[in-house]
Amino acid sequence: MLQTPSMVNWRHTARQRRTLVFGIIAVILLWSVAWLGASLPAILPWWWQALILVPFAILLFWLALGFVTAVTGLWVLMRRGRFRVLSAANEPVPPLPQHSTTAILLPIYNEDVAYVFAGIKSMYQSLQAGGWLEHFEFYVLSDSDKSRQWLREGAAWQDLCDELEAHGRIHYRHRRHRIKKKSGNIMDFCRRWGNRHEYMIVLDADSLVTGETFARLVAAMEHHPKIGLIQTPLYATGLHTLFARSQQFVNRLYGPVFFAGLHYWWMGESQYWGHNVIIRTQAFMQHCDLPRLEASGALGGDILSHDFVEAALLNRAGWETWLAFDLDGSFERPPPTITDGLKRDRRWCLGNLQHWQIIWSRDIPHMQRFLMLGGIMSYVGSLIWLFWLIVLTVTALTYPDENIIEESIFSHSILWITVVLLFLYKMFGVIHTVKRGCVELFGGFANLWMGIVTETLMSILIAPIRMMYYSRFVIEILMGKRANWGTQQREGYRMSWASALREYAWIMIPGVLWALTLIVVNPVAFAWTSPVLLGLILSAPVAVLTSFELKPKTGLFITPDLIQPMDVLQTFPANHLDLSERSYVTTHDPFTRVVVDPLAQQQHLAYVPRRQVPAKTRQQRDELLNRALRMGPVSLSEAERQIFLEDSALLSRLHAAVWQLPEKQFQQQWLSHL
Amino acid sequence: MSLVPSGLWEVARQRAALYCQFHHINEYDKQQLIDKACTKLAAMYGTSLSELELIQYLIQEVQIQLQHKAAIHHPSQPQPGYRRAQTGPTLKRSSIRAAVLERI
Repeated sequence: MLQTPSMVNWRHTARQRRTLVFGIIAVILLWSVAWLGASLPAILPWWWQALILVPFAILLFWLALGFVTAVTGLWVLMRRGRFRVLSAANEPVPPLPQHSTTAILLPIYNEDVAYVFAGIKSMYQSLQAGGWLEHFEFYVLSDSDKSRQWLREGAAWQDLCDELEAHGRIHYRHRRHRIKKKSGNIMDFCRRWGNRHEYMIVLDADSLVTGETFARLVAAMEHHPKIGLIQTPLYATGLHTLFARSQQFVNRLYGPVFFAGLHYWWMGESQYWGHNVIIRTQAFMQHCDLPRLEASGALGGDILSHDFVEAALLNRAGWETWLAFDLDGSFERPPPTITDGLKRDRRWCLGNLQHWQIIWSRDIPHMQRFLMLGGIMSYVGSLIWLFWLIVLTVTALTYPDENIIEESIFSHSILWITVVLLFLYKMFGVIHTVKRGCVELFGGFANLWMGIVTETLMSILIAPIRMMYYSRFVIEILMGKRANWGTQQREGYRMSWASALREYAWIMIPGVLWALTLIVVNPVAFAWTSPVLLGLILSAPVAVLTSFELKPKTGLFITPDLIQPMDVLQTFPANHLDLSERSYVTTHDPFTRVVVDPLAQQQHLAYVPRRQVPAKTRQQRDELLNRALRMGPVSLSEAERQIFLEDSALLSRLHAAVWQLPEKQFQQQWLSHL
Repeated sequence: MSLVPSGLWEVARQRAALYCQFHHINEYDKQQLIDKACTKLAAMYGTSLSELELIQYLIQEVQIQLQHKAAIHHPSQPQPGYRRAQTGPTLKRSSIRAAVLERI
């Protein structure tokens, strides 16, 4: 199929747009840095002044980039935007290809089984309702390494297939040799079944996508044969802690403006955010199998944040990557608390710092180099901010009688530029919401403003906490400390005061000392830095208070997804509740369930290959069987349980023998563990 | 699921009943199946069995009868433990070349 005429010359337009964006930033930067330099006290030596000016310029650059992105985003939304890769939402979905189905991939690792399969059920039902089901196949790609986990997954898969009559449409694969984490998991799919599917849609365990969104993505790929990847804008939803609700509110209110702005200057060199994305399978298979990084220490080994790199590799090979900024119906869950958000950031920080090596790889497009640098700076920027504040504090303590920044019209202009860059974009979100007539979907004007003010105060308090943590992460990683790439917390919970104090004491104590020192020596400097210091001192209370659950109907942080949820969001809670009550989810020990429950065992054995076992191994396993019968399942290690689960003959013998045990032993050792 | 046995046969019957319960067999069929198994065992061994032997023989008998029952009701379905389900489409292996990341 031919490219639409408007898409052909996007590279030329992209050059013009990027020149404009970075030109505006250059003007803001030159103005601010020049006047800050002129306003610094002459008593400071030149190198001292440089220590203040250089970090300021770096921080202001990224701040200005965010602001200009928001400005251009508003511009795009007001003009409805050119270079849209998808058909408009009010147009019917074009017919989908008949020659192959699109694979919907769910790579999972020790996730909440009811949550994952409830999500699949909701998306399946949404596709079915729209009449697109025949064009898609689901693949649950499990990397779970705990037997209790994949036993539940297998049971849930069979149960869901039976319920939806979806055998042959929902597939389940458990990977025994887990190499290269999520990127290895996807590549394993590509090796096995990549040739069956022209496109694959990669999701995360917490993803929810409407059937219409799936269909529009496939239609767009069919329409634009040079596109290798289309990233959907991600909207956070589904949790009710104060922190999560604020994230969901921000995402819904300001998100469309930022997504449109990113589209404005990224164009066909978009980033890939790891999930809720459609990819041309062959292009991905030919260019995106990631090598291990050779560097020593924490930055070496498997590439952890693979998504940015894969987008860069697709671009390098000549494939376009786009952000479908105006697409609705693609959701994920935010972290429930600040602490969980920070745990996730610890992993992302390591992944992003690894990109420093990729930036210097041959033939990577400059735009992708810059985006990877942006990812690095989102963490290193915090260390630079902390360093800058320390330099300012040392200056204030060394020259307590000097005004670091003299009072003048120019120093005020720098202050106002900073305030505008930090806060004005919020108005763009409001303008866009009013223009679309969606204020009621945010609970009306009063609730909208209450949300904006509350979120602004929360973000002022949370920013210094992030600064401290990100700085620590960067330092730890550069010193060689690795992060666990584990499972994310997906459900809300209330953080206890004790755990918050333990977690945040290392921030609160320096915050208090910092504030006291400035109050005593230089009260003016204290006044200037007080928003940051307040955030540090109040970090534990902020963490606890923002973990409180709001009622779904609470007026604060209302979003369109609460007032007018799309079909997948409507069906998901009931599906989740239903699956959470199934016996394979509620059982204490799925291993014991598979041994004792004849139907659960039959279900499990259905996907265990029958293997021949050498005589010597059989003898060892007989001893294991005798021990299990003598001492019960508690005597078996995880590895020993896996032996039973993967040996169908041994498991059948154990099942038969357990049911023939004396009454007391049967009750105490087996039934009580169900 | 604790139970208080009133005698050896009662303990064995309750174990067999629990086993049938896991198979989701209705109450009438369950009673019939256990009665039949008990009658057969009583005829073969009388009262000479210990608790362990009685449970073993009764469960074995119930397992045989359940398999027999399944074969009658679902003749086309393979026996438990021998059914191999397709968890994914047939493999079509593709080779993938790792991307080269040479430094500038």
